[in-house]
Amino acid sequence: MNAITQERGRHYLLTAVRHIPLILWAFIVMLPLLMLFFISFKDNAEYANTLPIMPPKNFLNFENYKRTLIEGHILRSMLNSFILVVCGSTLNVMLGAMTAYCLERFDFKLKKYVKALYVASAIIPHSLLQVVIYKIMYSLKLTGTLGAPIILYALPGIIQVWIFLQFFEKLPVSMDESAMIDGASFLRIFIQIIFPLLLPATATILITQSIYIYNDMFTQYLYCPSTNLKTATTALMTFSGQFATTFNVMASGCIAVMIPTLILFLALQKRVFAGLTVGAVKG
Amino acid sequence: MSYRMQKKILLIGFLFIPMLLMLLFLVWPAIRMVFYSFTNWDGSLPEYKFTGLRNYKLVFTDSTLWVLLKNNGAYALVGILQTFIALAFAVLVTQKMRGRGFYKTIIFMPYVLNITAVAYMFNFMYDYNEGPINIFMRFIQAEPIRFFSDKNIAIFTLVSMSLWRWLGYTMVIYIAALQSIEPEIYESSVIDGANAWQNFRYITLPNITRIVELQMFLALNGSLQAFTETLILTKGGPGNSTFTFMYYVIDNYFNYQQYGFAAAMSVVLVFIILILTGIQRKVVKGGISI
Repeated sequence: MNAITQERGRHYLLTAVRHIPLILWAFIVMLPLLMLFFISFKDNAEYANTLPIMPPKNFLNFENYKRTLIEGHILRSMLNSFILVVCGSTLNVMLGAMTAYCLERFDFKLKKYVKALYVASAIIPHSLLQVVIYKIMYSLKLTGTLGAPIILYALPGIIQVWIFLQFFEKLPVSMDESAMIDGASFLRIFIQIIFPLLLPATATILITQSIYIYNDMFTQYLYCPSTNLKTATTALMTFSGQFATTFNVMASGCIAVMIPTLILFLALQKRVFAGLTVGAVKG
Repeated sequence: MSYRMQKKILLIGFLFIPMLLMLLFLVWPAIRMVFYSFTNWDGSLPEYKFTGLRNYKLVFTDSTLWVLLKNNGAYALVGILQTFIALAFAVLVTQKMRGRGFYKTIIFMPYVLNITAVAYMFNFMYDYNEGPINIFMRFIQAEPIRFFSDKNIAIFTLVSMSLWRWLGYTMVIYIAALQSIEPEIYESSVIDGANAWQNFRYITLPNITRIVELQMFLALNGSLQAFTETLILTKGGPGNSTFTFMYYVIDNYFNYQQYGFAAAMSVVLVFIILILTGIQRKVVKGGISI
């Protein structure tokens, strides 16, 4: 009897030891976000007189949101982000699939140089090159347009190509060959047979790339400085000067800007995890 | 059309745009960067002179270099620490326990949140007057902390944001690695009478050593490239106490038009990263290669 209670006690202790660090960090993650959320619904007086941890009197007080989203043009900036995300990730995934198809199914003289370029692109930090790229964009008259960031986002990195290549391993070459016997052209094989089968990889890349583009700051900060080209990420930066003294207003802007990727993540968690871990674990 | 001909057209058609972009926005800028590092170009005027190694001499004699080393060092230190905390969390979360999916989701969440929004959130959290942390410090009668205005603390304030953001990401990568270990191995070792620690020490650890090493290199690499928090929140201040390599490069170019110097600094940084990556590829087989 005593031994059983002792065993049980040991079990509870072990469970607690396992949970405590995780709960603690989950708390550290959630607490600032929760306070930010609460504050975003408080008016100036309530913000000044209540503790940040206290829930607001009225969760339907959208005054702050009205000021940031509409008067502060965050909503319009989010539309710009949306354009970047859609164009950038679609082009990226298309070029990535095309490159992977060439590398996987064909042999050609320049193949090893193409591969070398991708390896180089993974090693050289892109932010460092921006100072030179900026000059090039300037001479192409692309600075101050959404074109510049879209082009940079369109360029598939080694990870995207690699995810596609991994996926290609599941598609036997014999499938292509039988289509060739039926007289299908390579282009037709790619569009009608290969690309549809790559869909899971495509979805994974689209999602991770969308999150990356939406959250990327530096490229957008460099190329889209004018007010009507501000994106969700950079709009907050101008905003902070304007509303520096009233954090409750700023909080609503932060929450609004956080929501799109948060929803995407919560809805498609498995794909997000798959996209991030596939390149890191194997290889 | 013959398949030989088709192949040629397809390869050109499919690879032209990606390769053009690569050459234009990767290879060419890299070459130009090295070229400008030997000049005194200011970044806008058409004329410039070759100054040989002068910029490089300036880089290595710059008194700010020590500040940069220290600050990027802080990022590196916490980055390495993070790989170990993340591993511990990943081991906990992969055990049979209640709420593991919940923990994974919550702890990973910061990674997907917009970086600027997160930065401003912390700007508030760490605020001297209104920030919740200092409200709490005053409540317990302790001295409030000058998170952003104290020269010795500011960089760690920024580093803590990076930790908050990346810990979950590293954890998720470890979880995937841990789940790729065959469960049969554990089952048979338990039958042989192994306890939890022995399981970890003799099965888990050897199986994921490579990924731990890889993550440590990636953390080092990432820490050399840190600048986002500085750019959004402190602009390098107070004084120069939160400058990082990358931010210093950007600052020198955009604010002081020291293009040649910024280029030389970039080249040095790329070299450091290349060396690190080279060591990584030697020591840790793997990472992504195509």
